[in-house]
Amino acid sequence: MTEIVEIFKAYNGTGYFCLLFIAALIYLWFKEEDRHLRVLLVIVPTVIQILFFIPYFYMAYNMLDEGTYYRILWLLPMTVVISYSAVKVIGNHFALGVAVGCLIMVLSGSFAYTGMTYSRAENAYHLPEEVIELCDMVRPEEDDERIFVAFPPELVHFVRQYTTDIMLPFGRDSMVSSWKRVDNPLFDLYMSHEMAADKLAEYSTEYWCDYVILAGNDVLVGDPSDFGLEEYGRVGEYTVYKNLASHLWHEYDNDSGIINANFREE
Amino acid sequence: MILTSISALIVILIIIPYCVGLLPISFVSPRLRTVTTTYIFGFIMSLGIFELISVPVTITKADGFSLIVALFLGVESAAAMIGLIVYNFVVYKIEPGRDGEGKEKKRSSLMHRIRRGEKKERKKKKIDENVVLWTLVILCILFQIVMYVFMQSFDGDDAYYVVQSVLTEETGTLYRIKPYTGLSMSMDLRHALASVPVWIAFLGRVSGIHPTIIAHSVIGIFLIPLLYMVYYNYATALFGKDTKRKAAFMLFVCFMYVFGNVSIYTQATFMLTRTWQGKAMLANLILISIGWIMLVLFKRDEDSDERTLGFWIVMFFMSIAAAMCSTASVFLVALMIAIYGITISVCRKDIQVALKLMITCVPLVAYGAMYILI
Repeated sequence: MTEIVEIFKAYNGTGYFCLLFIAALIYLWFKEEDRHLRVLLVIVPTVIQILFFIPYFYMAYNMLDEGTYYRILWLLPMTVVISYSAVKVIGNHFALGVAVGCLIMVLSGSFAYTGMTYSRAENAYHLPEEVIELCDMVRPEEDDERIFVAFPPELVHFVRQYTTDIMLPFGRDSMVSSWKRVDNPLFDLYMSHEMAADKLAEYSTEYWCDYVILAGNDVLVGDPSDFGLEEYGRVGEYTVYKNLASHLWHEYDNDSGIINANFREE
Repeated sequence: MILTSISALIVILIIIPYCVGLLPISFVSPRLRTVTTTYIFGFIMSLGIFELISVPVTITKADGFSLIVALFLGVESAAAMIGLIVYNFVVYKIEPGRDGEGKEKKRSSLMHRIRRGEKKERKKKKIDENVVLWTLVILCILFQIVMYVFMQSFDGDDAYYVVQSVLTEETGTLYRIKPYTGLSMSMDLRHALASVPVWIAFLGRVSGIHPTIIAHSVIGIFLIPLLYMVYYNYATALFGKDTKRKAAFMLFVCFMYVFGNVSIYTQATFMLTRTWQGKAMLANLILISIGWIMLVLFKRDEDSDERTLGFWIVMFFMSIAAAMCSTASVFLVALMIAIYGITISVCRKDIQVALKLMITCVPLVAYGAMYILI
């Protein structure tokens, strides 16, 4: 039961829409005269709400789809019930009623276009411009085979939204800690932010990377050119290295079989 | 190029769905036939048709994207033609008298109102209030569209869903490449059952626009107004012809969306921050549409002789469209329909309601079985 209450609290977050919804239900329970509307806008939502708090129902739902129990609350016609009862409450005091109603909604909710994840779009793709420039710098020509490029972890979400000609030695599946992931020493090296140049060259060759991209805050210990990583270009704070050991620049020595072994595990 | 792309999207997302919608709308009473209802019907049926074509091809043909595009264009065009023919046949051949009656009634009621001699001042004030309210509603919806186009939101799930669309469009393969890295994999059937990413790829193919741009900058221009069309129909079902109350209702709904980001889980947050994902379409377009259809179907007396067969047809396709949005949604939508069915049956002491609604869930049961077996 505690878990259900936590989910309910998390769903309603910082706002007071759930209080408005309960108030609207109570209001309609007493004031709605149309018996059909009473069933559809009062009784059905009440049944859904009660069902949500039943622990056995929670257990049964989790057996089918774990971690998405909050979606039961999507079944509540919260927006419709609140808006409908608000229109009924304001009655004939229309202009004032609408203004007050809107004000209550503003104060009860939270503006959708704020927060850490929101920013002005840099292009029509809605991807960071630096990612697009980096991809354009390293992507293969049309009809050429796809290449592997190691990107800093913070960029891996975006790369393949722009082009799937670039493959990644690790992607979002390595980033989410709660997911079961295959050991990837190159990813671990990136996450440490302090990289030995020899290890970076070794792992990027193991993962068949033709290019390696480092962020400005990544500290590289040793001279990368000593280990076959040649600086290729820069975009903003990111530095692109060409991995001279890659098969793209040399005939690939297939005897090692390291790369295939690494990817086969996935 | 841009004009061609825009024209293709208008044809695929507006004109053809509208014509498809003429098919079910032919089987409802003239009072319930509106432009918005027809379009919503057609859009949902089109999604259902896409899912019916996409899933079998995905399962049987690894590089079947081009086949999906060809089949869907063919079936969708045929459905649009059938819609046009059936609508013309029903409206102009079978029930011309009934329609004429309706027009006459409308005309006489207008004359009656004019004869009543409502005070000019009062009427002007009413119109002014209406105009102000509807202007605010339209501005609020436009604001959301502008924000969708010009603001970007980060969502980690795009690394799967949007990349899947790009992969499908660029390689022609269906769920056989791992979106996160690009390595080959066996078919990801669990995700393949929900074909919204393939639909986005389809829109990219027919318009020549990159699927990521379709997802992040284009599809919301159609989906956000569509959602508000559903709410408008909700308002019509609740307030009839009282445009002032309808406008107030719509304004409140708009505000609840714009200020609905109280947590990352709400319908409003999904709609405005990940509009292009199947989950957002499920939470908003599908579930809100089901609520509206329930209202239209059951806000009538049991002995009402209004024809509603079209709504039942769309409910059937709604189940398929729901499966297209998210595989797990089959349980959610089946549950919603079951709750409505059982509650209404108990309140009306009429088991037929639940039984009829059960029939619309048949596609959901089939998908649910596949989901569990996988």
